[in-house]
Amino acid sequence: MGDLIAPGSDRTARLVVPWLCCGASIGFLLWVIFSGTGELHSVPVGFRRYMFFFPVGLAVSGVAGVLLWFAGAWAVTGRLSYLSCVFYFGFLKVLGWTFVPWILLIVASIEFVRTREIQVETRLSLLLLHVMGSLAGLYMAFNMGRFLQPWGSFQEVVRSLWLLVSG
Amino acid sequence: MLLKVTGAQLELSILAFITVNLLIFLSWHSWISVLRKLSVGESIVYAGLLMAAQIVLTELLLGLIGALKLPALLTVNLGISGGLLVWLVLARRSLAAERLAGMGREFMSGFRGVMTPVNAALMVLGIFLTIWFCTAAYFLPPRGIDDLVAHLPPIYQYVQDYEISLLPIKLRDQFAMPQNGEFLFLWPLIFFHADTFIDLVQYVAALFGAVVIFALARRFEVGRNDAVFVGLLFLFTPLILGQAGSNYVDLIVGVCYLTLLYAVVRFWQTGAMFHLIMAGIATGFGLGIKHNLIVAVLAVQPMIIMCLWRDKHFSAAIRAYACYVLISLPLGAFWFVRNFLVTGYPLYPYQLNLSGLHVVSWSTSINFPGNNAITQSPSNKALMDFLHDPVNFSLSYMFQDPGLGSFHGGFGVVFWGLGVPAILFCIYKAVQAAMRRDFFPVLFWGHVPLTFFVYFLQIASSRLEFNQRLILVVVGFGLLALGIFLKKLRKEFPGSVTVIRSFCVAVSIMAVVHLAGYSWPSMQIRQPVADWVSGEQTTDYKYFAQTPWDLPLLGAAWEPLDFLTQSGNGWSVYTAAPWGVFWTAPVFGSRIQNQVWNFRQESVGLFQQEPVGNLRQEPASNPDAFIFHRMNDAPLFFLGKEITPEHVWSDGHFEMVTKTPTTYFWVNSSLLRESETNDKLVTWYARTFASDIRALESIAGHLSGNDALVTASAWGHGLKYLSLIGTLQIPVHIVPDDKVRSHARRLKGQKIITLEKPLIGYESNLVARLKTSAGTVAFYENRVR
Repeated sequence: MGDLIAPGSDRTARLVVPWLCCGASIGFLLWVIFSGTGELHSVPVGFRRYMFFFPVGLAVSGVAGVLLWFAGAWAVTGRLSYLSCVFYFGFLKVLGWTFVPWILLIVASIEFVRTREIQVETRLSLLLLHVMGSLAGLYMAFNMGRFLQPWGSFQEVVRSLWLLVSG
Repeated sequence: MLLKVTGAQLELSILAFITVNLLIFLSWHSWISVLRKLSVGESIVYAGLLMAAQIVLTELLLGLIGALKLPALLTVNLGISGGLLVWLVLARRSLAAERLAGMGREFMSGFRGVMTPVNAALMVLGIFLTIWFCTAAYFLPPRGIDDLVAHLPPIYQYVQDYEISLLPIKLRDQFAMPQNGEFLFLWPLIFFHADTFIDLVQYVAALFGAVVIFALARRFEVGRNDAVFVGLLFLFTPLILGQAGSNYVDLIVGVCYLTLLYAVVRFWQTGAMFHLIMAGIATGFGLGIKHNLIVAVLAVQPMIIMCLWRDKHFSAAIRAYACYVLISLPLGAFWFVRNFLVTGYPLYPYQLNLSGLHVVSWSTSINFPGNNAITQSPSNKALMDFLHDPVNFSLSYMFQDPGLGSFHGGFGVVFWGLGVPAILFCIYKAVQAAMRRDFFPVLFWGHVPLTFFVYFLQIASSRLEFNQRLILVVVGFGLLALGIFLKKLRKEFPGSVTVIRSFCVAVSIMAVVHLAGYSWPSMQIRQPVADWVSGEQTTDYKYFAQTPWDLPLLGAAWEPLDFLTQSGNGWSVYTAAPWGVFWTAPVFGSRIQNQVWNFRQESVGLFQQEPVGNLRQEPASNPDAFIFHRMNDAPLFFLGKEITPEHVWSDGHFEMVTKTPTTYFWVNSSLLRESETNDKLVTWYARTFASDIRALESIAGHLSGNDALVTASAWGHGLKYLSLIGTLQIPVHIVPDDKVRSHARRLKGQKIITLEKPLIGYESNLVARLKTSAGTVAFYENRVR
């Protein structure tokens, strides 16, 4: 067990980060699964729904974390953080993609099993990565539609430029 | 002037313009390369800064002595740059050649290293974007609302008068704002004597901003590959994309801020006076762009002072600091001195005193006399809202991304998703460093919370979506922080770097797609290109139809005005509209050929502290044309002499060229009789009202044999065309809605044709019916009883 805990770290710190990360991720996943596309887009309705699922995720994550803690499975709690980052690609579901989020989930699960234990020095980076994934995912969940809405107008721009170049 | 050109001449002018710019840039680049051994990025940053400073300063000096003409401007600038190059060739040829060759080798070796698939993808996207922006700048008019309201009219006036003056601030306070940013627009404007390429200035500023971020990232020891990556991402930020197509100055402000920071960072790192001098130039340049740079300048002072304190004796530090201040004066001081002399307030329309920052608006006090002349500063509601509910405010602020899809705001997912956590990481590290008594990081990253704090202090929550552009610089900080975090990730989670970089490319592509849907500014080029291909072009101003608000309505007057006057000496145009939509820039015309008659009506001495500002004298002649615009029930605002639509109609010397329910455009009849103008009018009607004309041709024969046709209908334009080409053999008079009967009576004709309604008091017969998709139009013959 000792080799899994980096010097200077404590067990509580090693548990808190994965707990928060996974809690937020599970909450996000539940939110994506149980919300319609329209509900995800609207602010602040979408937030209120996420704020409901977030504590649910924390609870699930917390229970799992405590069980793992009692079992002394530090490696597993650490790996959960990796897993949580990838979950945030679930925003693709917002676009109405049926299979891709689940494929991502499978890939993430494989990664979860495969990945080595996380060293404590990288915990901050991991947390930041997770925050980045979360914020970017949420931002895209709310705004993806706005970004892609002018697709038709963009095609007209491309056609016009092509007309100029080719003409 | 170089322009009044088309085709090959235009291409030659563009080539000449690029050559002149390259010459100025290269002269400074070579000069600083000889002075110091610099990296590629640093030399570009400083050469760009010096180039901008030279252009603005020469324009300012020539404008002050009334010699702001292209030959003089070119002579002075080519003289300076040519002189620099001659000196280099004569005195330091070998050193210059050695340094430049070294830089070239560094660039080539570095270039191969940074051409990763991700960077290459962003560069290809950048090339596409450049082609799009150049095309849009060529085909579309300047169309950002503040462009037309405040940024462009003063420089258009300078081009006409060859001198710097102050337009009436009772119309717009902004006319008295510092104008170093506008002076960059003035550069292509005066060169081409047309507004054709001024929309590209901020795009060039965006490209320059990318280089500054690259150079900054390199100073924070970010790898060259990631530094190029975050620099390129700057271009694809939604707000930058919106700003880059406009003539707002916020992008220039943000890039100048980053340049100032770069120089200060380098001064901190090296202690070399060279960098402090560059910081002084950036300070002066920035203070002369917009007042909000004052906060930035104040915020960098601790870094400068601490560095001086660290490296120099007291007297040497004082001398160095005085040198920094003196260097900043030529570019920054003029606007403050001018405003103090003219208005009494150096920061007009703001006043800073012991009780805080106040708005001192003569424009507001005159146009809204119920308000006090001196009002309190804007509500600090955004800060209060943030303090009241920080979590919800922050979440909403981040994910709604105020102003997204316009030049007002939209920091994008790279900033909010990746940049903000990275900034927090950098601030965390900066605080840790400060605890070790290394204060540089905290002084540097402290700019981000300070920027947000001052912004929230000034802006009401409801105005956030219009003002995010004021803190555009934080995007640069976000990207820099991302670059620093990527450096860390490369050691700890190398796999994640690929994911992040790929994600950024994907969202950059989406941001470019998104740009096609912007309406502020519209970047859609479908219609202009289609018109160009079919040969149906009239003028760029036709495409005001693509923009929101009252621009399409006013475009109905601006378009024919521009089309009719492009090739001549221009007209003197009177304009009146409600104050909120009293927009003047397009009245000047795309070749700055027309004069805004109203601006020449407000005379005031340079030192007279009256709520008007104009240094010119009243013109003797009457206007050649009139544009009136109404918006709901808002009263017309008159600048100078009060002339109403009633006056113009009563005068009888003016013909209405176009009329919409909100906009009237009258031109002196004698001008329309000139054969060239007449031909152009025919062409304009033919291209603009082609479908109406096709429909009307079928009934033209039924209307002959009468004395005149009087109408307030939109069909009048097509009928006027038929009359001008002789298909309809009676004169057509387009008149205001309430003047059909009066005008008919004034004509003293026996038989008058009207549309839609017969004339009361006349003996009327229905002579024709025109069935259209919009309904049926009835034509009545009205005989005097």
